[in-house]
Amino acid sequence: MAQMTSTSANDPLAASPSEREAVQRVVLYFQSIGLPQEKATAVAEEIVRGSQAKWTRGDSGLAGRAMDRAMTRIAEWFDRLAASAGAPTPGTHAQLGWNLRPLLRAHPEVFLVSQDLPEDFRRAVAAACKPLLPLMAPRMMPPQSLWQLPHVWQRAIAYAYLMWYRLRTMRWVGRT
Amino acid sequence: MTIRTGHFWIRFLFTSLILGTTGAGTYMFARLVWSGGVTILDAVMLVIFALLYFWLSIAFWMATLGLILCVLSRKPCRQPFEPNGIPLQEYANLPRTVMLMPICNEDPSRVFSGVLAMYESLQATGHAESIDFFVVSDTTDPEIWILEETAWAIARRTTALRHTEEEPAGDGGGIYYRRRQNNIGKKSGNIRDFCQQWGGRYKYMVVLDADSLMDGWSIIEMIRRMEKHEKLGILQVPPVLVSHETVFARMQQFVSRVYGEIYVRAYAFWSQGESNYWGHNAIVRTDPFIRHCGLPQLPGREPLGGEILSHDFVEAALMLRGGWEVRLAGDLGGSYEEPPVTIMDFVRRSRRWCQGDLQHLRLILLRGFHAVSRIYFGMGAMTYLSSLLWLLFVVLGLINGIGAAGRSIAVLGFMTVALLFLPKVWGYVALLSDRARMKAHGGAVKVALSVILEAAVSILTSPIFMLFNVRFVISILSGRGVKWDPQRRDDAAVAVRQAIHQYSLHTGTGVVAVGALLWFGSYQNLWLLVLLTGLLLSIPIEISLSSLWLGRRLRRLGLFLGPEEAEPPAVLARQHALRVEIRRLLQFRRRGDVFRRMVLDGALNAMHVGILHAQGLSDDDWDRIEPLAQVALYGGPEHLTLKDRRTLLASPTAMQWLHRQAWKQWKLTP
Repeated sequence: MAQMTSTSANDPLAASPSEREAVQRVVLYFQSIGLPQEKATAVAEEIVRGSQAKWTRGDSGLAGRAMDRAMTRIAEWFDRLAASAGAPTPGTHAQLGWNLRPLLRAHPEVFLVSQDLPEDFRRAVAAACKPLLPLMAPRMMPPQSLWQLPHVWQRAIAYAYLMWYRLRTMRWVGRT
Repeated sequence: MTIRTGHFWIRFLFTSLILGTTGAGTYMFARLVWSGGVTILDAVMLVIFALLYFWLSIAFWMATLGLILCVLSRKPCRQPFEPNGIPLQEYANLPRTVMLMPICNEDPSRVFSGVLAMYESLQATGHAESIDFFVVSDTTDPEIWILEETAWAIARRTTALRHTEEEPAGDGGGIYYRRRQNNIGKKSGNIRDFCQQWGGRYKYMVVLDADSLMDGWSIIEMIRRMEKHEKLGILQVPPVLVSHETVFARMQQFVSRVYGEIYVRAYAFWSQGESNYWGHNAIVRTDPFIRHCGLPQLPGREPLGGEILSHDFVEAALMLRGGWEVRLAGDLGGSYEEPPVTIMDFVRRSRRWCQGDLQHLRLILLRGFHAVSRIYFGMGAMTYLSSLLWLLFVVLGLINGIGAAGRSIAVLGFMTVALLFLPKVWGYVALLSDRARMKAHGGAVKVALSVILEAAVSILTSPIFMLFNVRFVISILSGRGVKWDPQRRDDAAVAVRQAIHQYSLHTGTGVVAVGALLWFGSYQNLWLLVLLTGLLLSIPIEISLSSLWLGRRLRRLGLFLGPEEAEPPAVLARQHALRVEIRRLLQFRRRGDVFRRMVLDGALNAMHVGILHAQGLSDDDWDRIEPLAQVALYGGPEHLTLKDRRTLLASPTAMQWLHRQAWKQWKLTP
């Protein structure tokens, strides 16, 4: 997990602990998906500012609302990327975050952008269109029957068991 | 099933030699024990002796046949394959094939470094477009499950980003991962589950173990041979033991290379199209496998009933019963696996194999099996039963007073020792006939020293293994089953306390036996002290054989050297490098935080949920799972049991919910 960051002391958002916590959470979240700190902080502050519209001081839900907004923005971005890929599969959305993470460090400017992507980004998106599992081709694999002894063995074993049973049940000492 | 005439005579001659040797030895023994009249004890001893001598004779004549083949043949055995002299069009348009690796609670860095190394090796051949990798997991430990998925995601990203955008999605060259929610049938059940879902997609499957490694060209050549021989159902490529550095592991690696060579040659020659399957490093024709090799449950309870543990022998027998061939590709190399690193690890594996092999005794007489399959079943069981017979023989000998001096016993003793140790000499002689191989093993002097040292250690360790095997056979026959532990894949020395705990019974038995021998025995029985020394010294033996330091020291001295140590094959060197890299990425030091990471890491969480959806696991019983999710969220994952974590991980809804809520609620620390 990336290290917790703090906003600049001059930033008005840093004035309130709730606001600072909201920014810090969103920054951490963006860092966890591969965004460098500087870019993550800039986008996080913008998101927290946007979340403040319906927020009054003392409301403890700012961080939560900002997180919801951040996650929604990412999900919408992935939707746009998946749509731009041409042939998305059900697993494309799931793979995009993983495939893009190492690239976002090198290309933070592409974050939340879905057009005019660099070549390696387009390849990563195309790679995310591979299915997570291939198409099934079901077959029945019936358990084989193994329990047929040749007749001669069946008779021999039955006879041996009979002998064993008689030996076990035989009274060795005289009748009582 | 047809056997060529020439081959029939070879088998006939081979069997005659075994029976002849057994007959000669038994006759001499009979003269020895019956010199003063016959007792029931004498008769019992004679039967045991005959069985044991038969067992020894098989190994001896197999080694002798192997030596003859090694000297006569100019083709190298088990060498990495190079497609020289084969038209390249034979490798074009190969059918769809899957590299199938069933795993259960294994080290993910080992599993996926192997997968990636094989993937790269295949790509380098230029013929890998139709080959997929499938890791099918039965893992029950939730943390290993998460690490498996992470390692898989790393492997998938590494390979996917190399391909160009133009490549059609979903075509070959994929690395896939699926985990079963219930592991019915263990490994064979896992493979069966795969076959039932994706079996129709692949013409061949190359079955691997978690520690398997195969060279790309060897895999391609296996597919080519399957294509060429339409009646071939299973082609087994004998694996070479590699990669570990403890003394015990290095000795096994040396044995597998030097003595294994002659046995592999002999076995491939003797068995032809009626060979056996070892469960991994083999290519299987999927369609007949699905039709003929579904394993039933054995009637009755474990250990001798229930699921068939050593499934590979039975699958080979069923394949033969279905009219297909099973062959051993003795000439094909580039196939590797890892040995157990200590005696205890070896024994733990033997415990499982012992149960499976004793189960086979129930199949020997069943209708429809090929005679050769019945021999394999019997030989598998005899591996463990022979220990019990040896112990019985020694004890009865002491009671009965065998040990009379004289020419007969001297000759018999000499013959027995020859049967036991000549195969080792044959291995050395075979190596002498190949100068390049001898050089790769360190030269004639060092190999000779290694052979002598290995023989001395095997004399000391054989009573230890004998006692373990006897315990296993008795415990299985008395109805106690086996717990399925994964094999340890790392070099690790055994601590003194651990060794004392594990070998106290052996040492105690040794002390009592030596005391009894010195007190009651005659000087004629003093030869037994050689065997009992191993028991007496079992604790220091285990400690020194598990030593990494000593293993490396012996390597520097050039002892037990193998070609793979002197010059590691590319695929092996790459696997080692990838393992280090994947380990670093998985950050094993923070293993306790694995679940927390899966919840918080958006990319990993989405990937996990994606796999669950892809497996059709989308319908959750949310009312049942929500309380667990609440505990995870407000109490922390450390308050969850392993089962709870598994339940949460198996629920896509829970994992998505936890991800969203944890980012809002959890205290996020650096």
